[in-house]
Amino acid sequence: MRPFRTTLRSAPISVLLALCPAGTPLLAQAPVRVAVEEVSDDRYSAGPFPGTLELKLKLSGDGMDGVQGVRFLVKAARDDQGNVIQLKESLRNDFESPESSLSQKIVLKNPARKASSVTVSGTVELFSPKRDPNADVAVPNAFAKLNKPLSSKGLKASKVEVSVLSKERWAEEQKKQKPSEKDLAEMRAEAKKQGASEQEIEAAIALVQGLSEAFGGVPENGVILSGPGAGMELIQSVKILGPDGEEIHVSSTMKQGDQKTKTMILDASKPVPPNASLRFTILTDKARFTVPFELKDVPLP
Amino acid sequence: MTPIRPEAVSRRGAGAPLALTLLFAAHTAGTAAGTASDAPAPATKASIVSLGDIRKGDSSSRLEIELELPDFPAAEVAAARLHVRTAVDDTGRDLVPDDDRKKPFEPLRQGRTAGPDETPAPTVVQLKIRNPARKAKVLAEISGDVELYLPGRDPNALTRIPNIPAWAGKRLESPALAASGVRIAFLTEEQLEAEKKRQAEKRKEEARKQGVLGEMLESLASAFLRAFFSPEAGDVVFAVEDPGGRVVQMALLDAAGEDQTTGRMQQQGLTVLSSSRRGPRPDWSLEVRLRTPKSEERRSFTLKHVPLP
Repeated sequence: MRPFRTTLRSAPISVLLALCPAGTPLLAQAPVRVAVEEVSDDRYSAGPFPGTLELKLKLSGDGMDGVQGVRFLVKAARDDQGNVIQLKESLRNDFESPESSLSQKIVLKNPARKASSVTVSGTVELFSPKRDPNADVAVPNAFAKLNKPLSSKGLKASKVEVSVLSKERWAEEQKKQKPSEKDLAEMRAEAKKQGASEQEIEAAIALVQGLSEAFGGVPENGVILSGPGAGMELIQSVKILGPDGEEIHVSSTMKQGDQKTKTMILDASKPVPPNASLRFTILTDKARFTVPFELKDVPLP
Repeated sequence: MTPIRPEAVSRRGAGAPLALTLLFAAHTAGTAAGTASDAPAPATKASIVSLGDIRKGDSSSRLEIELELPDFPAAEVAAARLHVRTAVDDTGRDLVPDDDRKKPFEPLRQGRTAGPDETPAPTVVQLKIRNPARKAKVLAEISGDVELYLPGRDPNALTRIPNIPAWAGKRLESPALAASGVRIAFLTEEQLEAEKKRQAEKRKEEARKQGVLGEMLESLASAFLRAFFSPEAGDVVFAVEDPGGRVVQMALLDAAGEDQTTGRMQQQGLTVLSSSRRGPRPDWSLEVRLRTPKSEERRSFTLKHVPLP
């Protein structure tokens, strides 16, 4: 049996398209290409894992220069038997770094077993901050006034309101979020009404309490940024810069919250001095562009 | 098999002379030498729990089958090994895996013993075969043998060596190990270092016989030494001689009998068990599960017309 990738490379029907965003002369000269690198179709008869069709994609072309974020929006997917392939529901569809394995993947439900190829079309949305000077916002001395919205024309222009929270303030916020004894009593009563056993109820309560504690922790050198959800969603990335302008490495970023308030907790590699700066990359409209794609007759493994 | 060199053995504690006869195993724990006999085994009931057709277009692709064996309660079966004799889809594609005969016993999650009014949970085993054709609708037939390891049926199938840290540098003494022809030695750091050098010398000698000389020979030996595994803090290393493929699993148990093993690795003929960075406490024991004639059952199974996902 020939390896699939070899089959794909030698497939008579091209699955590789050069595409340009409509009405953007720059990209008319600098195409973005979307190609299929790998296909996996995992099918299950039962069990905890839902079956998925995953297309691992590769983006290339001059249009990718400076791109820092990618997300795919699938509009249509069909197999060669004429069946519509449903999208797999995902909890979020954030812009991901082009290097991230998350960004280069389309996840769908399984095609028909007897299908031998699929065609998928949609758009890929790209974020290139170099296309808009307002996408790069530096806030000097960002740690000077904690627990108050940062004063920045750049953030204001993008309607992003964000505060650096002290750990004490964060602990207070968490305390408010923590389910009270009254909340827990109501949960117990409701679960009992629905016929849950004592054991099941206590397990659920322990889970709620555990989750509340697990998401409340802040690393030793953690930096907590919080603000209204809509604006916070526009923050693609944040860098911490020391007084010397050197970047302080952030090993991980945790995001939590809802539409009303969102919080980012940055795990810095060393204590952040009070005169450090923050540099935000904002998902502005001008920095975003979309290109359509169509992956035709992609052979199924 | 090569005997460990006398000078490689620490003389700490009692029982040191055992190392003079300690052999390093060609077949280590979990890689049982025996394979399913060709003689037909009595049939057992079997049904499909689930199928997973993992299609990636590369060598990781496979059809995974979870098979329920209702005649064998899960609480009694500690490990199993499957041998697929026939596997074919309705297009006629042969799905028998190429390497099926080399598989070791796989430990199973046993679960708890059922209460007096409960139906015991059945044993579920997993097997992997080649992917059916996309055009196939059903598995026309899958049949084979399953070997089950039921340690509760034989007191000699499970042995515990208490106070395991005290055995460092010595060969473990146990009638059950002796009865199974299994010899296990707990290696000290010095012994492991000596074993590394011994294996490097052995490879050098083999290379020399093949005409490799001079600097190339030395760089081969040093590359081997660099590639030799280094245990993490708290890891314990055992040399296992198991010519009959009797060892199913080794585990570190705490004073309460709870399994504290967090990792198992077999490297260069040695078995490494991990627990915490502190390693086994003085009151921990080593549990060795052994296949014995009384603790094994072999049954055949056949399933036909299994719908594919």
